[in-house]
Parts: sequence; structure tokens; C-alpha cells
Amino acid sequence: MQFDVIVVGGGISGGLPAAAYLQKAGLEVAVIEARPECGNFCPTHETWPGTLDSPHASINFSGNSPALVDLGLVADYGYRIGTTPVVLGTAHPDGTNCLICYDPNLTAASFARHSAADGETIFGIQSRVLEKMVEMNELAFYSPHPDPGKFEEILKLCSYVLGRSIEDLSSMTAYELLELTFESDKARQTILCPVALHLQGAPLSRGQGAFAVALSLFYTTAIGIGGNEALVDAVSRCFLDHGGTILTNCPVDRIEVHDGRATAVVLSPDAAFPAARFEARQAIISNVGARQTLNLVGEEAMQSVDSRLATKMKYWRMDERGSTVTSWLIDGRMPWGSSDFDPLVDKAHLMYRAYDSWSAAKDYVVAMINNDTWAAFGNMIEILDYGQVDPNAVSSQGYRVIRGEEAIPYPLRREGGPEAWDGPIRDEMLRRRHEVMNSIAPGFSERVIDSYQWTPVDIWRTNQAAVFGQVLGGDFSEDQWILDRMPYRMPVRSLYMSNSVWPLGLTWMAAGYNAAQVVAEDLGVRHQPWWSARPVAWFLDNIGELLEPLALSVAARR
Amino acid sequence: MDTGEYDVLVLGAGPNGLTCAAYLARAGARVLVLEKRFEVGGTLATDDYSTPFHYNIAQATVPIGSASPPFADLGLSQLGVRFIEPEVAAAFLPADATHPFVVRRGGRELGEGIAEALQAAERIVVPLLYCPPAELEGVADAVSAAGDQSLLELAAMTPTQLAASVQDDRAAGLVRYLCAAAGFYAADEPLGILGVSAVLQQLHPILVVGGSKSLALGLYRSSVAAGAEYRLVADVVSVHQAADRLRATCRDGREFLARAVVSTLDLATTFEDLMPSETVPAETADMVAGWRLEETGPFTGHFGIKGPAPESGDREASDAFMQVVGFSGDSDVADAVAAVRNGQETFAPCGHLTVTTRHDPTQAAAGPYGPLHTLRYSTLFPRTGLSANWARERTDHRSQLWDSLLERMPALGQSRLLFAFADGPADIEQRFGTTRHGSLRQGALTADQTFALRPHRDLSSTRTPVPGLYLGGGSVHPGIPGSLAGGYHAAAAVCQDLGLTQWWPTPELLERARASGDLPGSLLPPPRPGVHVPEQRRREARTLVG
Repeated sequence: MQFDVIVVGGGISGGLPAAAYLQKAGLEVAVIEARPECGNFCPTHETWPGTLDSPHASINFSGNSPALVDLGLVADYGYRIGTTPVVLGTAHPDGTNCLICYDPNLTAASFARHSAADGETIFGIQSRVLEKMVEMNELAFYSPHPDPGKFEEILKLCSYVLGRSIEDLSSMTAYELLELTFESDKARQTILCPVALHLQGAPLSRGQGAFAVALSLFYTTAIGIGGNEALVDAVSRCFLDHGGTILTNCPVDRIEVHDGRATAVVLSPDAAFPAARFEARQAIISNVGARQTLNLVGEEAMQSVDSRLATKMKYWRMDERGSTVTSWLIDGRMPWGSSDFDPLVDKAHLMYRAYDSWSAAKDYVVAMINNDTWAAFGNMIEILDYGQVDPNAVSSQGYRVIRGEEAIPYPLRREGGPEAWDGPIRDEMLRRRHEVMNSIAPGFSERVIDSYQWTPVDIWRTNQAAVFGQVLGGDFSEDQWILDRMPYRMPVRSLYMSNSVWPLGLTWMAAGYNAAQVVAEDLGVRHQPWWSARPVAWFLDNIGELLEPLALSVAARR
Repeated sequence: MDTGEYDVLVLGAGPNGLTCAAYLARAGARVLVLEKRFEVGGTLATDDYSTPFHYNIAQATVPIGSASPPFADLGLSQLGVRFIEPEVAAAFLPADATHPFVVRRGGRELGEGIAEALQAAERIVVPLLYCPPAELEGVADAVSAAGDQSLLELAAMTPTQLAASVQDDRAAGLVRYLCAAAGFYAADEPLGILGVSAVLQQLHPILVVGGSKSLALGLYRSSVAAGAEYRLVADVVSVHQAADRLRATCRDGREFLARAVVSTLDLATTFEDLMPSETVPAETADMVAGWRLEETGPFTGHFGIKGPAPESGDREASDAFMQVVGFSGDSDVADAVAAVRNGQETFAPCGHLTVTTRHDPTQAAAGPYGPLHTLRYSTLFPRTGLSANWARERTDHRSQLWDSLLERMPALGQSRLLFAFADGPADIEQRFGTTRHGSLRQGALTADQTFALRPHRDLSSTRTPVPGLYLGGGSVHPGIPGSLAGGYHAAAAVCQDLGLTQWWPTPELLERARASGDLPGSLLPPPRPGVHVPEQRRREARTLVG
């Protein structure tokens, strides 16, 4: 069989959207997926009857993506997302909270509860963020980096929204920036938490830390109606509807390179088409990350075209943070301890259990760098409550899933190595997590009926591209930041990457969008009348409707 | 608000709904499938719950593999759908750890009568699943004419008689267990031709590589490529007549119009919940009220272990797809079945274990840090409502199930249990809705509810007294889960009524039965060649409506 383009790996961030854009642009595209289903890291489960849980790509960032409009995901394929007035917030053990809201006035009011000056500061920053939201998303996320010209533009925008010179920011850590910008520890922590999960940069890195803070302000957070897998379903259907081919249960053994050009994909002997060879007439897009791509292409083939890149791929860093996730089935709602402080927390879908103090926030990052598992454990947890947005996620008995994630050092060398993740650490992790949850939501553990923990090793087992349980395509360390991530266009001709690139993976679908752009330009099919949406524009235009409490409107109809 | 007008609405994206949509979309109809759940596939669900193991939540096998007509018609092999047929079908491992009784595919160890009957079921009854619904007498005549008395003899038997027909007490226990697993909990009720075929087909297990859902996904992709549209979490709460159309309204307010509606949902949902009562004729309402459901379904535990696949000491028994455990012999099985019928939980968990990964290694991750294996332990369980405390009780039962396995298979002690999930009958009902009482079959397979009588002589063609409304799920002929035949038949009826081209040929399976004389021409549809249709694409297809 022959195709114009073969995409190795049908993930939601890179493979699937790249395939859908290129197929819609008129190319003949095949997605080859090792597992029985695509979108392996964006699953939704009815783990407990009547509830929904999307434990991995949990926060839905697809509101930032132009694909919602370009691919007709909303208009033609019935895809829906919803959100709450709160983008994200922190809950503190002292019974307070601090919230970033879509409405800067609400954010300012929340920050002002901790410091009047911080309220004014965040109002100014967030107003400038909203003004530059589309532009920044276009430059920083929906552009095929590395692009030094655009990098400069990004820094200028960061400088504008934070009100500090590029030179000044270039030597600041996230901590220094936050200490100089906000006087309240709560405000500092609220901005820090998503950055500290290492989403787009290392907070203790000078320069990168400060810029990562700025970038983290440009996200939208949402939840897919019917679970985030709805996104996988909509993109897949768009792809199939335009004539694309999806082959699942098809692990790939190697990518053939002839005369410096990637020409074909060969499946493994236990694939649904055992050892089959599929030719790619125009391009192969690898969505399996730097290390796995090197394995597929062969070290020699890569060394012969670019030895520096080959070495970088071989030693691509994936082990700085491991994701550990707990899903709890609870009876009723989250019993936030800070409801009295500010009842808006009862409407939030995404909260962080903040650190015990600002100095604890610093200690955490140091513990991460030192691979000090137990010091890092049980500090900060990202908490998602699907039922706040999606009535389908709550069972008729009133049960819902609360999902918590912590970033922990992966290696467990002091505990006996990575295999220790299968041992009693699971139970200890749960025990500590209950303590931490109870500290911000008193009585939480009494509401828990059942729970599951996923360790980095489980995540790696279910997702071969997530080596060491790293699900963001590789660490965002200083040597693997914007300009130093994998190129979309590889030195092996006709080979492209849509993982381990900038930006990170997940439901942004930016990596796939950018890979599609590069391939489409190279193949002369970029100019399509439908390929014109600007990132996040649809989300901002429709924010009113997305905020409509779907749960209430449904209840009213019953 | 998402809304639209279509030729056909299909209610339910289970195996039948997917099949129906794929056939109709290729016939050129604008089809929209409305699914209440968050995903397609219905009871062919396979989930990994984000763990390194695949769990077949409701249905672990299919009754027919690559010989099913949709497999060829819808190009499922090109989509990578594959099946595995384990060589050793079942083993009865006595609770006292004495020697197991092993049955290989085909059932010879259970005696010539059962082996012959199984062959007859595969030659005659399986093709009948894809024929128009036949009268029971016609089916009996055909079986008789083909010279297969054993199937008729067994069809007249009750589970007790069938168990008594085999010599060995362990074999008898196995046979009685197979009856219960096929929904025949009553010891003294005859099985009927379709019923006994369903019982015996368990001696010819077929599983889908990658898990049951891989079959559903093949159907799904085939249908989407042909232009079918889907809406998930679309919980249809009513179907109303609107001039010459039917209007389906979802709980969240989405509304869709069409000339035809194919309901793959169970009878009570279709006629009592969705249709306004004044539109349902009294005879139909009575039929629905008198419809017999199966009494209960299993409580199934799913266990993901790190360690070797458990061995039972006997190699052949360990290779068996269904390892029946927890009973000493036939009377034990009889007692346990009677107990769950009476609403009592059996004292110790007993049922059948399948080491899924022994048959399909792809249903657990390759690593790192293995070996990993997926175990499925399905046990007899009474029908219970969703009591206030059920969610916690379920967790306790799950632990009991694992503990009982550990006790029976000490070798499991070397393994580490990484993940455990479980569902009781009420959970299965809550998940899938149409699986009332936790049973996959939308109504018992007793003779009076099969073939032309499923669900009633006037409705077994899939057409209903409500204009534009069709039945295409398990409540209509043949009612065999995973056969895809309900959706297949409904697609044919809708094609005829809407004037669409029935593009698919008479299945090879039926042509073989015709040629060999296994089935008389009177039961077979007239031979029809396939018609080439260009691959339809939704954005190019014109709506027939208006």
C-alpha cells in the first residue's frame, strides 16, 4: 500500500491533527497506530458506572487551537467543550484561595483579598494578556519552531505583558519575577503552580523561568463534554470523513531511509498487517518522540545526515518529572475548605493545592532537581473536577471523579529503582495524597469510595512514546527549550516530527498543526480557503456560551 | 444548538447500530447515529482504564468471526480487524483440586451428541442468523432435513437434562454452567434451537485481537468513511412524529429529524420511554410488557497482574479459554445457579476465569517491567438493584474475587496485583442502559422469543407499527450479541422502504448453505448480486429528504 503521507502514531497532540489537516488539504494520508485506539493519551473512561474520567490529557486546552474551526470539529463533528468562570486557582491549607478568572475584574477581586496592590497588578497583566492572546498563541504555540525571528517576538510580548524589559527578564527565575511582581505569597503561588508542573519551562532556570511564567498566562482551560476523548473522536472522524486511513493494532518496527530520504514504514511481525511495508510518496511524520524516532530510523542513518542531532535524540531527556495521577470516586461534591473565604471556588473546575508556604514552593523545585522523591511528594497537587462542567460526568447517584496529578522525580534510585513504582509506593502515595487533600477540603477522604493511582511506569507502559512516563515529549530543561527542541523538519528528507517539538503535546494540538503547516508548505498545499482560523479566537468569541452552566440548563429541562 | 435533518437516525452506537449505519451510509443515506455513552461500541467495549491492561467489560467473545457477512461487506479485514480461535475451549476445575475436565474446540469430549449438535448449529443455525426471521417449524424442518437429529434432541432438553446427557459429573457441571452463562438460569426450561446453539457456541470461542472494541472500531471507521455521522453523549429521551418525519430529542436539548429511526435499544426503552404512549398500539405495548428478560448477569472482576500467567497444574486446562472454577461438580453448579436465581449471593465466588493475554498477548502492554497479564473472572451473581451502598460493596466483592482466585491458584501468589476493576449486573445495566438486569441479550433466548417470534411475529422483520420506526438491536431477530445481525436486517428493511440500493450481495455463508442443501430455499433470501457503489462521502451525499 502507498500513501502520500504516513503518520507514525495517532496521538491527539501531533499525529491525528497533522493527519486531518493534510488529508483535508487533499493528500492521501494514513495514520499507523500501535494500540487498538488512537489518542492514547487523551482517553476518557467510565471507570465507575455513570461517571467520566479523562485521567491523562485531563485539562482540555483545545480552546486554543485553530483546528476547532479549520477542521470543523464544532460545526461539523459535534465536538463540545465547556468551562467555568475560573481558569484555575489555588486552595491553601489556611482556608483561603486565590483564583485566576476569565474576567480580569474577578481575578483582581480575588487577588485583592490577599493584597490590594496585587489585585491591581494582576488586573493590568491579565488585561494585556487578553489583548495579546491571539497574537501570542500564534507566535509561541501555533508556529513551527525553532524560528529565531518569532522567538524574539515572543520575548517582546512577554516583556509587554509583564511590564519589564527583555534584558531584565532574561536573567530572572520564576521565583525572582514573582517576588518582585506580587507582594502576597498566595498570589505568587497561584501564578507559579502551573509553571511548577513544568508545563513549558523550568522555574529555577534564569530567563526561561521568567518567560515560562509569562507563557503560562496565555492558556485557556476547559473540559470536553462527554470527556476529552470527544476531541480524539472528532478529529478522527474529520480525518476519516475526508478519506483518511487509520490502521490500529499496528506497531511500527522501522522507518526506511534510502539515499537520505524517508520512504517507507515497516510494521512489526505482530501487527494487524504483519511485517507489512507501507510506502510514503511524500512524507513521513513521526509522532513518537525523539528517542523512539531515532530507534525507528536507525542511529546510523541519522548519524550520517546530522550527527549532532542524532546524539541529541539519543540522549533526549525525559526523566526530570514523572506524572503520578490519582482518580478518586467521591460521593457528592468537593468540600472546599475555602468556600467561606470566597465561594467562587465552588464553581471552579481546575484548582491547585498550593504549597504550605512560599519557601515550601522553592523547596519543592529543589527537591525535584535533586530527585528527592519523598521531599517532592505531597506538596502541590493539580485537582480537576469534571462534573463542574460536564453533567455527563456525574452519576445519577451523585458520584463524580476528582482527578489529582503531581509531578514527582521519576528514577526512585534511593527506593530501589523505577520498578519500585509497582511496589508499596502506590499505597503510600495515596495515603499522603489523602492528607494533602483533606488539608484544603476537610472531610475529603470520607467522601472517597474508590480510587486508582497511575505511576510513571504505568504511563510508559500504556504509551510507548512516554518514555519514563514523560508525557510532554521530553523535559523542558534549559537545553530543551523553545529553540532547542526537535525540529519539525528533520535533516532526513521527507521526515518530519510532531513530538518532542515546541510546544508541548496535549490537547493544544499545536504540534500537529505546526507539523501539518511545514509538510503542507513543502508539498505546496498550504493555501486552502478553510485553513485560516486564528488560535483561541473562537474560544474568546464564544466564551459566554462556554461558561453557560450546562449542568443547570440540563437540570432545568428535566 | 446542534441539530439537523437526516434520512435515518440510528439510536445506539453498539455493534448493531454501527453495522446498520455502515450499510445505510454506503447505500447513500444521510445517517446520524445517536449514542448515549461517551464512546461507540456498546457492549463490545474494551477499555484499558489507562492501565497497561485491556479489559473486555461486558463481552469477551463474538459468536462469529471473519465469516460474518458484515466482515466481508464492510471491508473489515482491510481495516485490520482480526480474530483468534483458542484451541481449548473450556475446562472444569473441580473445587477439590482433583483432575480437571477439559473440552477442546468442537466439544468432542462431551460426547458425539453434543459435538454433532455444535456442528449442526454452525452449519445451519449460524446462517439463519443472517436470513429473514424464519418460523420455528421451518427451522426445525430444515435441521431435521439436514439429517441432524442431535441438535433437535438437545433443543428439547432443559439445562438439567442436558447436564444429565453427559457421563462425567465434571462435564455435567460444565454443561450446566454453560447454560447459565448463556442466560438459561432456570433448570427446567427447554433451551430451544437458538438457545442450545448459543450454549454450545461457547465451545467455539472467538475473540477479537486487541479486545472486543477493535471489532466495533472497524465497523465505526467503515461507517464514517462511508459518510455516517455520530453524536456522542446524545441521550435520546423522546421520539415524536413530526408530520412525515420522526424527531428525536436529546436530554441536553439537541434535536434531530429523519424519515426513519432505527432503535437498537431494548424494547422497554424504545416503546415505553422514548415513544409517546398514544403512538404505540395496545398489542405492541402488551407485548413489551410481557417480554421476558434474562434474570441476571455476571459479576465480573478484571485483574491486571505483573508476573507469569497463572497455571492450574494441568497444562491443557490452563490453556482453556473458560476455566470454570469454584464448583465440585454438577450439583454444586445447580445449587449456585438456583441460589442466584433466588437472589442469594453464593457463599464463595464461583464462575469462569479467562487469562485473556494467554490467547491474545496484545491485551496487555509488553512492558517495561513485565510480564503483564490480564485476567477476567466472571462469576454467578444475583440481580441486585443499585443499593445506596453498592459502590462500596462492589469494591469488597472485587477483593473477595481476587482472594478466592489466590486461594484456588496459589501460583498467583508470585504475581503482584497492579489493577483490579469489577462490575456487577447493576453496574453493567447502568453503563449500557440496554443491558437490563445486567444481561447482554435484550430478552431471554427461549424458543418463544426467537426467530420469527423475536420480539413478535409482526415486528421480527425490524419494521414496527409506528411509521418510520425500526428495531435493529438485540430485541429483534436473532438477538445474538456480537452477531451484528440485528443491524444488518434493519439496514435491509430501511433500504427497501426508502428506495435505496441494497448494494451488498447475498452473503457467502448463505450461498454455501444453499449449495450444500443445509438450508432450504424457502428460508433463504433470493440470491442477489452485489452492486458496486462509489464510496460515499458525507459532504457530497445529497439528503433524500424533501
